[in-house]
Amino acid sequence: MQLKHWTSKILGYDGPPDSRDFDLVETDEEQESVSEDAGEESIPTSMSRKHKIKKPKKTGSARYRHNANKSGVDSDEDNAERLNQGKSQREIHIDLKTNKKSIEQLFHMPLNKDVVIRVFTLSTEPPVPAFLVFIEGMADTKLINDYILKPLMLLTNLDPGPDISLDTCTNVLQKHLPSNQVKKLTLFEDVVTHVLSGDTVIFFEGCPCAVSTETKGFSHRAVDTARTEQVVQGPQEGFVENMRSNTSLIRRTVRSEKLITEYLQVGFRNNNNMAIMYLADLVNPDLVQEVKRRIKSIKTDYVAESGILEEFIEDQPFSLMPQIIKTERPDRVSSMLSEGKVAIIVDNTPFVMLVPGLLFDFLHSPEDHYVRFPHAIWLRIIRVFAVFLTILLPAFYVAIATFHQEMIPTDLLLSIAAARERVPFPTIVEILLMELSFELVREAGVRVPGIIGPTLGIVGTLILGQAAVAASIVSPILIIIVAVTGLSSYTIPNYAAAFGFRFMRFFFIFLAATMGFFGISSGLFVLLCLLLNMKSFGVPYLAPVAPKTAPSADIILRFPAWQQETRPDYQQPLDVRRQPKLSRVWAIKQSRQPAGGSENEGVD
Amino acid sequence: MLRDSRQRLATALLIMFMILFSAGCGSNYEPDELSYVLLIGIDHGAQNLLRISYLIAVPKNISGPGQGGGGGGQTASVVTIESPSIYASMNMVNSFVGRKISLMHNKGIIFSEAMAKDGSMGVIVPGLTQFRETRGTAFIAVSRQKPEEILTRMKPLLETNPAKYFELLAGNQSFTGYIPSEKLQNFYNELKVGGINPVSILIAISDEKLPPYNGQSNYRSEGDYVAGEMVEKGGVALEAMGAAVFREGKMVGILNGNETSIYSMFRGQYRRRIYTIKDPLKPGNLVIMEVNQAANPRIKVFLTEEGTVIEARFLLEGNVLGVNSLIDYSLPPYRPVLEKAFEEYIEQEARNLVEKTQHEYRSDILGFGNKARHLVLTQKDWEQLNWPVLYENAQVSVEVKYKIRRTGTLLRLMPISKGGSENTQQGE
Repeated sequence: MQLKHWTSKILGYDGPPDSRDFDLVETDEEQESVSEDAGEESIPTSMSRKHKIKKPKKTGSARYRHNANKSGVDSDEDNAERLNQGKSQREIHIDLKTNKKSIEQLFHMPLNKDVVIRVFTLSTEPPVPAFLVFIEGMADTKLINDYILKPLMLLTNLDPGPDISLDTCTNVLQKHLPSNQVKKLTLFEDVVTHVLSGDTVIFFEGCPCAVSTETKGFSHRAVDTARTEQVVQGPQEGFVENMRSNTSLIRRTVRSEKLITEYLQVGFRNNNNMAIMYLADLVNPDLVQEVKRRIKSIKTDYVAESGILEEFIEDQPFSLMPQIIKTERPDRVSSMLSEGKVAIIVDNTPFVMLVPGLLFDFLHSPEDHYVRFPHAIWLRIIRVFAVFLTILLPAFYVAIATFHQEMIPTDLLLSIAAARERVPFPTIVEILLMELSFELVREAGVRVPGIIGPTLGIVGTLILGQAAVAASIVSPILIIIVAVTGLSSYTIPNYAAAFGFRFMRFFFIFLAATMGFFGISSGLFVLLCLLLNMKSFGVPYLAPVAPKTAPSADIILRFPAWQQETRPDYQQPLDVRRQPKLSRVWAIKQSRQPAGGSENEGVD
Repeated sequence: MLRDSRQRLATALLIMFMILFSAGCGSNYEPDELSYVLLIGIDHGAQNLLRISYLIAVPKNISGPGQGGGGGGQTASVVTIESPSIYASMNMVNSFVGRKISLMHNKGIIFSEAMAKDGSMGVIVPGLTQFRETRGTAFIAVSRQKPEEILTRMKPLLETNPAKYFELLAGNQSFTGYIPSEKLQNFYNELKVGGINPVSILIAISDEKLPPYNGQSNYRSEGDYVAGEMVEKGGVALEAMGAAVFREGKMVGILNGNETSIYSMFRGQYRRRIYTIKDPLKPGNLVIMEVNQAANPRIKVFLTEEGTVIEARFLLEGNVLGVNSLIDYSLPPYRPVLEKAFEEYIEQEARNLVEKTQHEYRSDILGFGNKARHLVLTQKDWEQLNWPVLYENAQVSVEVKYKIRRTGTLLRLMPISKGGSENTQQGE
């Protein structure tokens, strides 16, 4: 009895772990509307594929099962506040001197040489003492000279304001600061944030507020070509470290007033800015809420890069496969935004994250959409093939060479045997040796200084391989196996996914070396189970294949752009339809044009 | 016990590894730890039950490192041993051959005629089929000489790899038709099934002798030979021609090349072959045609009051390759004549073969029994039918349909010009 209990405990399944409480599902109304529509327009399917996917009914209330945990969150917040004490919650004092003192204290003034405080007097009647604070290097000093100090010190007297002393802040704000972004601040916390991000904050005597002026002027890299995701055809621009440039790069492609940029801050030590961007009329609000919830709830001191944030917010930190798309291409981000994904931009990172990231997203390259669709289909097939080669080819070789010799054509087997004649190691050692040296070459190629990088690749691959064969350390066939595996791993467009697949192959090599094909197939089974068990921001990782959802025109094969009528349904966008069924209106004969949608089967 | 998920995961992993590793590694051999047997020859032993010869590939000579081609040495070596059983012989060979004998790439099994005739072959084959390593697709042959002699004498002419040579040789059936396409698995099946008897390829060492020309050449059909009787020299000193016929696991006779072709037609295994027949309109001349089977044969078996009636229909089609008589068989008046003549020729050959199997060999190698099995409901009924006797007395009618599809690339055949300047002579 006990054995049965244990067996079911070890091997049985009792629901997802508690940490995963978020499911991106349809609301009841959506489901109803879908089932109502089904009669007339049907779920947007392409061509004649009519089989509809029955979606399981789920109650909307089951979204945040763990909200009850609130008390725990609160205690965490207290904790954070204690850590936050360096940053005062105090309000700005009416007295200028006190304020100055506070600022000096906050920025550790005599010690910290970066922060500059400039004391001056407003040339008003009566003169108002004031000071401004900024950080050398973060703020543009020319801007401060010309557009803050000059108008305030010299030009304010031209305007005999009647009651300037009543509200200096507002007055200066409205009349005397020719700057496009100004803000009234009342808390020292905000002052610190603004100063740290490169703004200049001005304090006035007798005024319980300060004015922040946009003077960001730090040096940053100009927009350059994308380094890690190169395409032959298509836009070449890549993101840069400066977040504002990145948002503008995205906004330049998606010119929609519905494109929303929300700012968040993470890391109470480095206060890094991050933005989430989404199309308000497309994205599922639950998804946005979940992204914000995850980011806001992070309690850490230092998040400087999107990779660090990724680890904080991803669903399965221990999985080999990434669950968040990281890209440095604005065009990729904008196309994903228009699918209903959410972009997370971290300041100082040229990589933008997109959620949810599903397995098939990692096999897509933006170029797939820029070349004609038959070519794109071919690209995709090659890539899927490459994934399997990357994971399985070395393992396959080990399995057939040591367990299943009957599978190899006699000639090949004999030449393998002949080639191994003077090789002192068993196949598994041989292949591990070569795979490890391949990894060495790869890693060294990334780390060496730029100029000798390409040389190293050639040295590593050609000469090392040739020499290893000549020295009878490995057999020549193995060099082919390792080289093909290496090539295939680089055809996977996503760096993290390629990494994951490359790493997996070692598991499969070991399985193959111990158990042959049985090992490989059990490994594949486990891998499949693990992938099936994964979710990225509430969306099953293998969607839309498992679970099967409404057919998509862009999973492995890419249909022509005019047939991609729907957005991925599994991301639950607010608007599923991308374009009407009849998108190529010109393709209909003039006389038949008014007939409309149902005609397009014959034409398209 | 097993309170948190980590413990459970660890336990599950432990169990998995225990299961997996207790299963694995046992049958793991590096490719260079095995010696690959390419061909087995089995004969009666002098001091033990069997004398078994293995043709073992020498990989380093078949594909030397780097050079790609053979290193000039012997590509395969023959090892002969006497032992009580085949499997024991593998171990015994390993008392003087370093690498473990493996039958995984065994391309063929050759039995001596003596073994085939006394039924030992029929006893050994099921055991061979049972073994995990033997390939069901290995060809099975009966040799007229000693198998070890065949293995030793046989040196492939073009191939460095002897395995390739055997595979190609056995595969040539698809365009010569002189040998049956009989594999180990077919042989075993036909051995155990009641409605059909097996055949095997017949091979022999060629005597490499060309008799002197005595001023007269006579027509003899190209299939009218059996292995060992062909007049040939050069190439490989081996002939594969015709088939050995078995009854109840014992070899009872042989078929020549022509009969084997007809046998293949009955079995639906016939692909293509070149036929040289006498010209129906000018008997002194020959017509050469390439004939292929257009559809599977239709064979019907009836059990009537008078006995068994078997009807077979072949649908053949072919191309005329050459006509000595210069009669243009592409013309409508002539073509049916040729078709008719060939139909009659094949019908006659088929009737002769059936006759031979019915009365001389008393063995249903053509598989009519399999076609008759559906006439009874149970195995018991089938056994009561006593098919071998029924077959012996069966009335077999063969109907052949032959269609000439193409008559070559010439529009017209012209006679040899008689001294004129016009020199458009054509034709074979």
